[in-house]
Amino acid sequence: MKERAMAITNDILLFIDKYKEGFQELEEYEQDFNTLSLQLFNYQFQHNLPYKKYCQTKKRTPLTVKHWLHIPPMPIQGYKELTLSCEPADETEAVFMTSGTTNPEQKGRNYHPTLRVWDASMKYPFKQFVMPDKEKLTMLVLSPAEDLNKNSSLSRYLSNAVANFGTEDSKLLFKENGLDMEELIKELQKCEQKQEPVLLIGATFAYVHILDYLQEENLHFQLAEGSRIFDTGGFKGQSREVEMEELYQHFQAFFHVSRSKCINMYGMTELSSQLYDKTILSSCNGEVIHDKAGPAWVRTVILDPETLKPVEKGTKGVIAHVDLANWNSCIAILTQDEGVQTDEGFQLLGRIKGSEARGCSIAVDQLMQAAEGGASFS
Amino acid sequence: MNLQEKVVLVTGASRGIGAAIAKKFAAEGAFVIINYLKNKTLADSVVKEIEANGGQAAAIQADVQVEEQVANMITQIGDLFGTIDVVVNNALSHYTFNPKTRKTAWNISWEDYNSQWEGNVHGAYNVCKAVMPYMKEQTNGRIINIVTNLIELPVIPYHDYTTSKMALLGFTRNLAKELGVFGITVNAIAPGLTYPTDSSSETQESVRESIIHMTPMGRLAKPEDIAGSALFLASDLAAFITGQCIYVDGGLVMK
Amino acid sequence: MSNHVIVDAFYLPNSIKLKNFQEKPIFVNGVNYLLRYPVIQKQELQEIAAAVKENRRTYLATLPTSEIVVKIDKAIQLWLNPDYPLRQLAESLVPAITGYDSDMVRLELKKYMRTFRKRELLRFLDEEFDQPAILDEFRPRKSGGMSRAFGPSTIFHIFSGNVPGVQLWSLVMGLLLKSAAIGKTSLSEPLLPVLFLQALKEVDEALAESMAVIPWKGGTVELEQAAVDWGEAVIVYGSNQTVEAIKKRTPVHKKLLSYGHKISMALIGKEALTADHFAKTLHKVAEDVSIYDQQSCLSPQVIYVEKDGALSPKQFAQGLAGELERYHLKRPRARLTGEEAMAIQNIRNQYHLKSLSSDKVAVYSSKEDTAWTVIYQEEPAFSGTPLNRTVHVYAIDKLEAAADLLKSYETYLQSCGLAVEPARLFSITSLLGAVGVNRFCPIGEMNSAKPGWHHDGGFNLIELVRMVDMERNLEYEMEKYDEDVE
Repeated sequence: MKERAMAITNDILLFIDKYKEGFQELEEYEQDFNTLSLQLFNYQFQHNLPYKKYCQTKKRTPLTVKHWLHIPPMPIQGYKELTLSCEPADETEAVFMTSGTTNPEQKGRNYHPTLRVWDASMKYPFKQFVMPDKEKLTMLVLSPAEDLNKNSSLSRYLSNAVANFGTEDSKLLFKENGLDMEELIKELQKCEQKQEPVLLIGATFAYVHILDYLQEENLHFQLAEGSRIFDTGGFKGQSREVEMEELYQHFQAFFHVSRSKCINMYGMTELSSQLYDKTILSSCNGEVIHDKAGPAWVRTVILDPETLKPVEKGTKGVIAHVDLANWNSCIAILTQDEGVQTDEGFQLLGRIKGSEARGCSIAVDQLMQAAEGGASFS
Repeated sequence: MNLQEKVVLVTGASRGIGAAIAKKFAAEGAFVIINYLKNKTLADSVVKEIEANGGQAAAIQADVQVEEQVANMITQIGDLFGTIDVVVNNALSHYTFNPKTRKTAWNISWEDYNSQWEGNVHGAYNVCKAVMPYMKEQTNGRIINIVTNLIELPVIPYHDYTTSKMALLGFTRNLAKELGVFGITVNAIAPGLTYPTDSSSETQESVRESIIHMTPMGRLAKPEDIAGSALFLASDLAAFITGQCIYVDGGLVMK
Repeated sequence: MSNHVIVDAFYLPNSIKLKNFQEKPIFVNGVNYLLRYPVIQKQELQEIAAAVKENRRTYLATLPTSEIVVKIDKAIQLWLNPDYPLRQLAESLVPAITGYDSDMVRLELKKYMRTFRKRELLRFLDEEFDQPAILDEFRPRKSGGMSRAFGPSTIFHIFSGNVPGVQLWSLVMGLLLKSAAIGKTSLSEPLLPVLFLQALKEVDEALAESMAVIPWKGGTVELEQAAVDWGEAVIVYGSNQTVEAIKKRTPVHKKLLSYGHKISMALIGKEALTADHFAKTLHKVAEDVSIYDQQSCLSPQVIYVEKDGALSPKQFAQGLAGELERYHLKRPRARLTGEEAMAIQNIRNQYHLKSLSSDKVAVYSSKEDTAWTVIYQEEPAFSGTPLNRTVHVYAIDKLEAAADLLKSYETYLQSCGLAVEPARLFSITSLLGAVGVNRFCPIGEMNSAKPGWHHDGGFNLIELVRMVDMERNLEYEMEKYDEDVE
C-alpha cells in the first residue's frame, strides 16, 4: 500500500479514535469532520479516476467544493459499473461484493487495500449500540462468517463481532451445508439451562427459516435476561417477506426476547461503516427509541429525489451517506433507500424502487420478456 | 453573486481590460482562468490580487493564435473544473493606438491587415472552437468578444485593427444565430478608448481631449466600465440576449 | 367559513341519490373548490347500472345514429366557445388535478374536442361502416341480403388517468352504438368525462341519462366485477397488469377491447437534418416528447437519428436537450412523486456512469431537477423510459435498420413519428408496419391521433357490434306470403 494511503488511513484512525464515543464540542467536531472529509474528497479526486470523471461531469471538484454536503455522492450502481478504488484494485487485502445476483459481472465491489479502518469502524459502534451494558456475550451466529465467505462484508462483520465481544461459548452455526438447525437448538437449550444471556446474530431472512422450524417442532425458549436478537439486511428474496412487527412478536413468543432488546443493523457493501437502531442503547437509559444512528464518522443525509438537495427534517427522501471510513472508494454515496430525518437520527422506510409510472411506461423486464433473447438492448 | 461557481476564461487578462474583467468576475464568485501570452509576472499578480480579495483564479499561458496551445489550455481547464461556462475573447495582436504614427490607407499593407485578422479573429475562432463542445454538453454557455466602438465611428481610422474587429462582430453574430439552439449566447462589447491601458498609452493628450469633448459622459472609459458590461453579459441576467453589440463609450456612439 | 364551489367528480342518472362522499378541497385561480368523490358499495353500483340500462332502453336505443351525431356535435359546439362555463371549469381544474401545465391543457383540450365535431364523427362512422345507418336498420349488403349492426346494450369502460380527455372517445363510441355506459374513471383525472356529459345533458338530458361516470380506486374487485357482470362489452385502458386482471374476470363470451401500455418512437432521416431543417426538426421532436409530459402511449420514448446529417446524432441529442429546456420554461413539467423522480434519477445514473468510460454514451439532463432527460447512445438499440420527458436518442446508420431492432417488441409498438423524404416513405412504413408499428404520423403531431384511426391497430366500432344477417333468399322467399303477390 502506498505511503499516501498509509497517511490518509492514519488520519481516519485518529478521527475514529477521537470520536468513537461521540463528541463534546459540536463546533470542533463539525470542523474536524469537514476538514477530514474535504481531505478525503481531494484524495479520491486525485486517485480514484472514475470518481474524478464523475465529479468533473458534476462540476464538483476540490477547487469548487468547500463543504462536505457538496461532495457529489456516487450512486451505489457505480460500484457495479466502475472500478472505484484509489489503490490498484488487484493489490487489496479484501474485496467485498454485493450479493443478490449470481452474475459476477453485476456485483458491486468495494476494494479494501487494508481492513484496519474497516475493523476499527465496526468495533466501537457495535459495542455502543448492540451491547452497551455488557462486555462480552455468548453469540450464536446464524449466517456465514468469514471462514465461509471472504468477499462478504457481513461475514467479516460477524467474525469480528465474535472475536471482539464474544465469549468462548460463542458458535458459528452456519456451516458449508447451511444453517445447522439442530446445533442451534442445542446451543439455545444450553444457554437457557445455564440462564446465560445470548446474542442471536444473523441476516433477517435467516430468522424466517428458524421461526418456521421452531413452529414446526413446537419449540420455545426462555432465554435469560440480557439476551438480544440482531438482524440485518432484509429478506433479499431469500425467504418470504414478513412484516418486521410480526417478526418481533415471534421473537417474544419463541425466545422470550422483548422488542426493546431487538436491534437492526443497516449496512451495505458500498460503505465501510454501519448504522444501528437505537433500541438497545436507549432501552438501557429510559425511553426506547427505534430511530437509526451511526458513529460520528458517518453522516446520513436525506435528499429530495427531484433535486437531490437536502430536505427538511421530517420530510421523506432518498438516503445519502458520507462515511469517512470509505476512504478507498467514495466517501459520499447515494443509496436507493427512502428515509426521513428525525430528532433522534433517521428512519429507514424501505427501497425506492423505479416507480409504477402513471403513463405508458413499460418496465425493463417486461420489454425483456417480449424480446425473449432477440435483439440486444441497453 | 452573479457568477457563483461559474468557470470563466479571459484571454489576454494579464493587464488592462482583460485584467479588470477577470477581477470583477472573481469578485462575483467565478473561478477565473487568466490567459496570458508573455507577461507571466503580471498574470500571476492578477491572480494574487484576486486571491487576496477572497476570490479564486489561475493563470495559464497560451498563444490564442496557435490552435494546439488553445486546445491544451482548454483541456487543462476541463480537467481542473469539469467544464467552461464563460469565455471572454479579449486577447489581441499587439496594437498601438498612435494617431500620429498610424499607417494611412495608401501606406498600409495586406500583411498589416492579416496580422490583425490573425490576432483578433483567428484567436477568437480557436478559443470558440475549443470551448464549444463543453458548452454544448451543458446546453449552456456565454461567449463575449471584445471589439471596439471604432467599428461604428472610426474617429481615427486604424484600418487594419478596426476592419478585423468588424469581422469579429460578424463572427459573433453568425455564431449567435447557430449556437442559440444549444443555449449558448454570443455577444460583443465595443469599448471606447480605454484608459489606462497599454494600447491607449500612445494616444496623445490632445486626441484624448477631443474624444472627451465628443463624449456625453465627458470622460474616457476605464477598464472597470468594460468589466461591468462583460459581467452583465456573462450573468443569467442576459440569458436571453445574443448577437448583440454593447457600446461602452460614454455615449460617443449611439446604436 | 365556506365559500366553496362544489364540483362533482361523477355523473349519474337523476334517479340515483348517493349518500356517502369524500371531499377534496382545491384552491385554483382564487376560487375554493370542493371536489366530491362518491363512496359506493356494490349495491349502489348495481342500482346505477340498472338505471342507465333502463334509460337507454327507453330512449337512446330508439334514436337513429344521425340524430345522436347531431346531439354530440351540439354539445361539442357548446364546448368550442371559450366562454363556456364548463370549459372554463375544465381549464381551471384539470391542470390543478393532474399537475400538467395549464396552458398545455387548454391548448390540447381545445384541439381534442374538435375531433368530435359532426364532420369527424361522420368520418369515423363511414370509416368503419359503408352505411352508418346499418346501426339503425337492416341495410342492403353488396353480397345480397341485408344486415344490421347491434351495438352492445351496455358497456363497462375502465379508464386510465394519464391523459385528460381520452375517456371521451370511448364514451362517444358507446353513444354512437346506442350503448348505456358505466365509466370507471381514475382518481388521478375523473373530471373531464363528467363535464362532457354535463354539456351533453344541456343538449339532451334524456340522452345523458344513459351514461354514468364514477371514480373508484383501481382494483376494487367487488365493484369491478359487478360492472363486468353488467356490461355486455368491456373496454379497458391501463397497464398490462390492469388489463390482465380484467381479462381474467371477464367471461369469454363478452366483447373485451383492451388498450394496454405501448411504446412509440420517432425516426429522423438525415434529410430532416440539413442546415435549413434541423432547427425545426428539433423543435417538433421536443413537442412530441413534452406534451402531457410524455404520459400518452403516442409519445415517443425512443428517437432514432440517422448519421451524416448537418447535425450529428450526438449534436441532435444536445440540441434536443436545449429544446426540452426551453419547452420546460414555456410549459413546466408536472411535479412528480418521490418514486417517479427516483426512477428518472436511476436511469440517469445508469447511463451517466456508463458515459464515464465510453464516448458512445452521453446523458443530457435538466440541472436542478428531473424536468427532462436525453440519453444518447451511439449503438442503436431499443429501450423504454420512465416517461415524464425522458427520452432515448440512438444513432443509426440507416433508419431502415430500425425494423430489425424493433421486431422483438411487436406487442408493445404503437406510433412512429417520421421525418423522411418522399422516396423512402413507403418502404420505411412497410418495413416498420410489418414488425408491429400501427400508426405513422409526422413528427410534431405524434400526440394528435386523427379521428377514425385504428387504435392499437384494431377496429373500433366494428369490434363492438354484433352483425345480424338476413340472408339473400329470405326476402325473396317471404314475398310469396304477401297476398298481393302473384
